[in-house]
Amino acid sequence: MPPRSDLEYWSHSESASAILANLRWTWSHVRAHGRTAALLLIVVHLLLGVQPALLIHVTRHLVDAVVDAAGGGPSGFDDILPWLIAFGLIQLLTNDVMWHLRDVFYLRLEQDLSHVLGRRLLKRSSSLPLLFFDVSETYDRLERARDPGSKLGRLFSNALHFSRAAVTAVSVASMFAPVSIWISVALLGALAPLVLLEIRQSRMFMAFTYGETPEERRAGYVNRILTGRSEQKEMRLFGLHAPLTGRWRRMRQVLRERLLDQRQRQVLVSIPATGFHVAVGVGIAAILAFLLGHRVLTPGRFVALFQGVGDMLHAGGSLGFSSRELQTRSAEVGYVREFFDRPDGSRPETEASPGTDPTSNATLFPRPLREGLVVDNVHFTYPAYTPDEEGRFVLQGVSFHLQPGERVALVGDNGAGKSTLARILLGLYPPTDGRVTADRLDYAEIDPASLSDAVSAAFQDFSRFEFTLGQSIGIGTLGGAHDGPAADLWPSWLQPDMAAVADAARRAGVDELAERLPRGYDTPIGHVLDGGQGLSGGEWQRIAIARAFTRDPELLILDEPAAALDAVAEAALYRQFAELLQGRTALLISHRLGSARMADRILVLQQGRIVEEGRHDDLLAYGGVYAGMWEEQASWYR
Amino acid sequence: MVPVESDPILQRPRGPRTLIRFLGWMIRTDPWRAVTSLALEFTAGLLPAATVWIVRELFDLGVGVYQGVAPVTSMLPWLAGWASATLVETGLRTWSRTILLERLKQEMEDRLLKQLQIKSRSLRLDVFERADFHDLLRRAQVAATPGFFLNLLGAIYRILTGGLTVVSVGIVVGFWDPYLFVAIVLVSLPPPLAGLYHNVHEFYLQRRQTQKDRLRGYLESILTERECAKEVRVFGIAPVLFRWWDHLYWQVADPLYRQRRRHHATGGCLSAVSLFAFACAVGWSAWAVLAGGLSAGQFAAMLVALRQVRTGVDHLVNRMSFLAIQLLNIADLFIYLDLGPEEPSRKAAIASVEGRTIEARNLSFRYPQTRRRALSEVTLAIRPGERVALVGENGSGKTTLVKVLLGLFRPTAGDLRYGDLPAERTDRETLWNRSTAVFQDHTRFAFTLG
Repeated sequence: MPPRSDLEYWSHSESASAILANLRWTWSHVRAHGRTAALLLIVVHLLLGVQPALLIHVTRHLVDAVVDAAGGGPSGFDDILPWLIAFGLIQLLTNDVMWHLRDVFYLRLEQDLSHVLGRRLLKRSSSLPLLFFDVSETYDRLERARDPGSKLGRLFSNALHFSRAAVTAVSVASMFAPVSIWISVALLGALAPLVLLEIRQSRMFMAFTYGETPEERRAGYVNRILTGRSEQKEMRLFGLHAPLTGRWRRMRQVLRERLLDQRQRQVLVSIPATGFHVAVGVGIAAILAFLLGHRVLTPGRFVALFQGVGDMLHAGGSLGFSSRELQTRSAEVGYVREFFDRPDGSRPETEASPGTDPTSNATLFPRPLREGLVVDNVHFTYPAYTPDEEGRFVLQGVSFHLQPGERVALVGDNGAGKSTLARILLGLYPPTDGRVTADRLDYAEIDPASLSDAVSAAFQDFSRFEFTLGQSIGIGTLGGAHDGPAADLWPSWLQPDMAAVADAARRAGVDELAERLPRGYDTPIGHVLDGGQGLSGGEWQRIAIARAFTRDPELLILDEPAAALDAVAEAALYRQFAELLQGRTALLISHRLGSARMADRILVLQQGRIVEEGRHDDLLAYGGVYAGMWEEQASWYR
Repeated sequence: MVPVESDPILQRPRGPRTLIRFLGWMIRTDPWRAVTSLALEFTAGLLPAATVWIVRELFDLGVGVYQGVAPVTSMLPWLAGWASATLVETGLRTWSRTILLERLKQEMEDRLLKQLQIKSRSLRLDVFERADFHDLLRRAQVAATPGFFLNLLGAIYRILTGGLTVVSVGIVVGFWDPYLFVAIVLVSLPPPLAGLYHNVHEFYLQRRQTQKDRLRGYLESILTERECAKEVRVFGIAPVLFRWWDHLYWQVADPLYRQRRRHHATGGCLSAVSLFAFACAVGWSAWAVLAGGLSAGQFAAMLVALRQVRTGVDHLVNRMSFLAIQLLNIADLFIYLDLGPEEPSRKAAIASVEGRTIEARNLSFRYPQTRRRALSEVTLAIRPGERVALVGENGSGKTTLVKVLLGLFRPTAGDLRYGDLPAERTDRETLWNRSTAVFQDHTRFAFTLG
């Protein structure tokens, strides 16, 4: 699917109170995590803000002194010298000097913020319930909150820019006050249309330059297909280049014309505002010239204020620019706040380090299991659906009992609810109704960490974990007491339990792969680390299966883990299962019914309900859904 | 180590050459608009010098008016001149930077996207299997992101106008007093040098860090992305990954900060040199006024001129750093566009493959930048109409063989013929049109093909 629209993101208009609230929130974080850098930045911007006004003051005296002493020979130089020195010192406050300080402070501030907030974001997102990720509406909140440190840093720096421009505008305007207070007022008043225009235009500009309208997204999607890596073999085989290129060109044409039209309108709108501003500037310069003739102004003041008019023009531009930026930056911070502040059922953030016991008074998963797991009238619906619609329930009253050490196969069509049921048993989804108990203890009461320690799983849509082979298999054992060589990339404690890894690898048939790779289990796999080896789909899947075996779980769930394996490998894997499971409770989900045969019991799931239950032979004799599926598949092999 | 055939990423980018190639590319894309907008920017760059000249007249007259030597009305023509210079400058900028530039940018984006599309289409499919292909494509596509060209052209134009302003103002002031020209050169040279030096270094620092940076980003994505969410929970790996992320964070951030600080120390010193030259220039002008060599108006105009120069230099430096980085991106783009090998063009192909036997003799295939052979001396023949099943274990090369037989990958050794024709001489497009395949690693196309 083409990605979500960002139009809302960029054209988000922020009320002044929302901007203030976001600023206050940003400031509290900036103060807490980067106070020194922030204070230095404030000082730098204040100095930059008053610099033009100071310069006007000094220029006035310097020019007057020079005019007085003109042609009088070198002896008059002593009167000029103090003003010359002051002039030179004020140059120190200009942007091209202060920039060297500003940039360093800003980088540090941003790094500090990114560290603290990035960490918090990672913590929070990994403690969110899995459902948060499965519902687009909530997941988008996380997507929009990405890179929080930079977002806060940008808003803060923007607020500083805005303040700097405001300080400049007010202080420069006040330099005109000794001549006439009305000139100051007129100069400040002339800024208003310019600032308002900039704010108005910024929304159009952002929406059209960076934002994505649905049409743009569609065109972008076609373009990605035309240029992307994975699409190319199909593009060639099916001859899709020519039709898609034609389609893309037509889409672009429409977009271009609209964009250009928008631009032209922008320019037309900006002409009166700019004209007005320049007219005010010229008018004031003419008045200054007139006053000069009446000896109200000295030449120095004339020269200095004349430059002040230019400063005002410049400050107006900065004010407009930074106020429009303030809006977008504030919207960005708003998304970060939304993600951090909104309650969404995440676990409280604890500094649980691996290897230490969770809080002592927490209810732990019963080990070993004595009575087994009971699924009691479990209903489940994804939050995006309204539960009133009966048909939307993925599970509709599922009940069964898993005895300790029992191996149960779950079969059913696509979409019957098998994977959802697996996730509920793993404690990843809370049931919408009904409950799951382990030795009569409700899952809801069991400490999540202890629950996750007690279960293990291999999924059909597994993740690859592109580290070294050993780390990828033993990712669940990292950070134990297994010391290994430290590297730049990882500290010594970041070692998998190599005994467990080697054992699991042997059982899942990854040991051959390890022997073949140049550095064995230390070989990087995938594309993340330098020199990473590409693996085939089947190899990745075996790694995922091995990963499930590195732990010592009470319940092991294999959710179609062999889908990408060839039939021989799958058969071999399932034959080994008895040995692999070592008396653990296991739920096995498979498409290929042949593998279900070795289970102690088979559950047949259809449209969220268990419709049949029993041993293979009994179910065949019963002649129901399972027998039908069996016949269907068996006919392939006759 | 895996033998690497050629590593374009490590080639040292050459800024000026890339810039020239880029400008040529831009002018070829839309000659009229490119040249016009360059000319407009050129004019706009000269206007500050005109302003300095006008301001000098104004100030001289102003002193005269104050002393009662000249009437106020004599200032009005020059005031009008100043106003129109300001208006013309704003007007030129508006026209050039919005309407013209917008169209030019669109043309450039379109051309680039088309070139990238054509490139993807004509590259041989095995090139896509290079380990660094993903990186190369990603870097090349940076240039196609919205706003990239607009910002880049903006930077180039600002540098152009900034440079022109500095030179032309320098010349105007040099007319009054040759020493002032020297002063302006001394004022304007040091900061750009510092900026340029810094940017090249920072870029290399970032490239050297790509592995750590990539790993850090990958850890972030594991912890926040949908795809890994269930395993993160089932295996309880979040705490370890945090600590890992933490371990890497300052390893990436600290060197960058130290580097930046060092650079700014250098830059600050050079700024001080520039500032010293600035103070000397003002002092010298004041001295010249006392000695009678310069008028008071010229002195005041000199203050304006120095300001213009410093603004020009400021633009130059700020944009120069930006340009330096963007040029490296453009260099990456050109590297990608130059990447080979490509499919032979259709003209070389002469015959269709219809009704011919597919014959492979001692066919071997090795993925780019790997040592292991994915296919090793395969010999087989498939007659027209024959139905053949290919079975084998995972990773035994089934998919690769199909891709080679279809002409998607070119064999690294051995011989592939369609009937009596060598594969290179057949028309692949008809072959592809006449064959069909469904792959395991298929793409989901999210629309209807009409």
